[in-house]
Amino acid sequence: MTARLTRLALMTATAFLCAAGPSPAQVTPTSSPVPDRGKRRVLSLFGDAVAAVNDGVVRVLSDNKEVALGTVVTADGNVLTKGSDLKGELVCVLRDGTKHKAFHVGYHKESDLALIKIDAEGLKPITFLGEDPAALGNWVAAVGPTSDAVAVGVVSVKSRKLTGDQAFVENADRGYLGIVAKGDAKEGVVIDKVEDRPTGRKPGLRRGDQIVEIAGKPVSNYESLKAILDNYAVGDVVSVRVTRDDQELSFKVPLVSASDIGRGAMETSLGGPLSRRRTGFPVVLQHDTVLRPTDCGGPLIDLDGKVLGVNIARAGRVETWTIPGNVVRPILNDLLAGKYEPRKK
Amino acid sequence: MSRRLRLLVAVLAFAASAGFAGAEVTWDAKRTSSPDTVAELRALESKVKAVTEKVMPSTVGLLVGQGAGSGVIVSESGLVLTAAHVIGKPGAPCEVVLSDGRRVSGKSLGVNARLDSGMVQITDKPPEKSRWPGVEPGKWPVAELGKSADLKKNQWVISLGHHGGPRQGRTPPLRLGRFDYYSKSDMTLKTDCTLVGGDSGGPLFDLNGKLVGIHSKIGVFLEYNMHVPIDLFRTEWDELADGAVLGKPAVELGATLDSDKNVPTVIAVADKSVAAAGKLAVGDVIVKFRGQGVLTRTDLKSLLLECRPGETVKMVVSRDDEEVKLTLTFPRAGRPSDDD
Repeated sequence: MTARLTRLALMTATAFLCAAGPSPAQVTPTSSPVPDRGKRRVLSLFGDAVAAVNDGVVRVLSDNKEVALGTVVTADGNVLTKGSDLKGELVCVLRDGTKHKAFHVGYHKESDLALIKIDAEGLKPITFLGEDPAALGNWVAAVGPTSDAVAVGVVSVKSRKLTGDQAFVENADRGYLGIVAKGDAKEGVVIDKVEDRPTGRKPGLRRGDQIVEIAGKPVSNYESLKAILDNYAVGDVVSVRVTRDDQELSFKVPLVSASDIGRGAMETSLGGPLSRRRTGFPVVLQHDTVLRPTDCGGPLIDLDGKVLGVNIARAGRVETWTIPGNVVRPILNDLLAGKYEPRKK
Repeated sequence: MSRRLRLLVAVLAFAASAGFAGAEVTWDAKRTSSPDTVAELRALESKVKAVTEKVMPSTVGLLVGQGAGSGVIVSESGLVLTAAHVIGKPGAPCEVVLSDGRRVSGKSLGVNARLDSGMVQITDKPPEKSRWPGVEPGKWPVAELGKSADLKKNQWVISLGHHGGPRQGRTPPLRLGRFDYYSKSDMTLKTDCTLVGGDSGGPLFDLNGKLVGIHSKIGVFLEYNMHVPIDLFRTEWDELADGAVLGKPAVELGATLDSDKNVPTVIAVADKSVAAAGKLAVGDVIVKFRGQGVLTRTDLKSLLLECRPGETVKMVVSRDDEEVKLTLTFPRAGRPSDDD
């Protein structure tokens, strides 16, 4: 497992290799260019297809903040949305501008799909395509409660099962020390690199330090380090004991989020924010549509207005993921049948 | 020829070849404008799908040491084009991940670090079970070479590559975008086909399915994606195939980096070198160079390639967990710099 992690970490290094940085002649750092330069026109050509479904899309607010889009699935107010960003008071804003209080009905963790319910009738529910959807290269559009599509793109990869590290649900709130461990250390965890932090200074840990204890619990290998940190969240401060030159030292280390360090930080800075939860989905359809994380939870359609699935994550600089309709359907049925509890905090 | 007329010609040509009597809408691969109607959008879609299907088999993943990149097969004997920073140096063994997921062996040939061009030779035979449409058994699926000089601003292009490294069960993801311009100073093509780490070395195609570029680097915004023009590969083809190392930096730092580590870590500083004069010390980890963040040795190498004799460069190193600022001055060469 440790060897595998090392390999992936180093693959990530290829990302850095690729990113030699823009030359000054090409970048005006103060203003971002208009996104989707070539695709503006395409967006407007999607008008008719969008009009067929946009009445069935809502904006989801959580404690008055936009957190996701929602896909209306029954005329009486059941709405499917992205679950991991929901918390506090939920409100759905319909296309006509009316606001409706929503409550959390159920959450399917693997797909990150949540069912929420508003008190309404006569809504226009969306029907998902039953078969495995779009072919490679098809135009697709993400739909919001607006006349224009939220964004357009093409299908990059057909529906597939996620593999490797992407197949596991990562706790989006999990805290990280912000270090890279040496892959070949015989025993214990030896720090190979202390990652830069977005704010504040480094916690005092150094390259070469051997971590022996975290929060009073002994660290024998990388697995045990991970297991201890699984119990802590971003912002928690843990005490870390290390040996350095035969001395034992102790540090208080504030934990950071995955997106603040390493690959996450790089990708985030190079193309806009990514979804916090972006792993562990059962099956995804990948496209090159550029979505804000808060625009996930709504439907993805093709040029015929067919609903291909629910957009579930902005997964990287070059990729957005949709859970295909044929996978959404059985999960939705279970959610409607009350098979799943709401998401626990 | 006006666009409308050209389109009409394309339509007629298609109608004639396909034996259609009606005016089927088709997409001209050279067209530089957005589609005007839904029918044209569908025509562009059909074109993209057909081209993707045709060129996908030639796109490969490359695993070199602990890094991962992409490449594209250009000869039936298994010659692969890629980026210099994916393979590093000639003679490096690598694994080539085929479009059907099977893996074969290869070794790197020549590189031009300045252009970021490189070649790999597949040393195995095509796997018996691998089959590609229209390709005879025992031969490799090949991408046809185009001419990057013929690209027009806003022409639609597609990009394939194994971003994040090849993944089981995932074909190299497609991205659609438009060609923007050729940067003379940078010697790269710029498109808005988004790229990220692992895409490096992968192919950029025009909508005739011709290879026009190789993915090289990205900038801050999604619109900044740079590719090595295929025309520049052509000018050095034989040297690269012969295993030459081209495009050496114009300046020398005089510091040796630990080749076992990905982060640029100084293990030796040559006497009387630029590094020594600038007080670079053994154990320093270079984190910033010439105003740019440095994460890997390769980052530093590509930044060094941009340095000119006579230039003064600021850098930041991490020394005993403290950040230390250093200033280096490269000596002036005999002749003035020809760039900038």
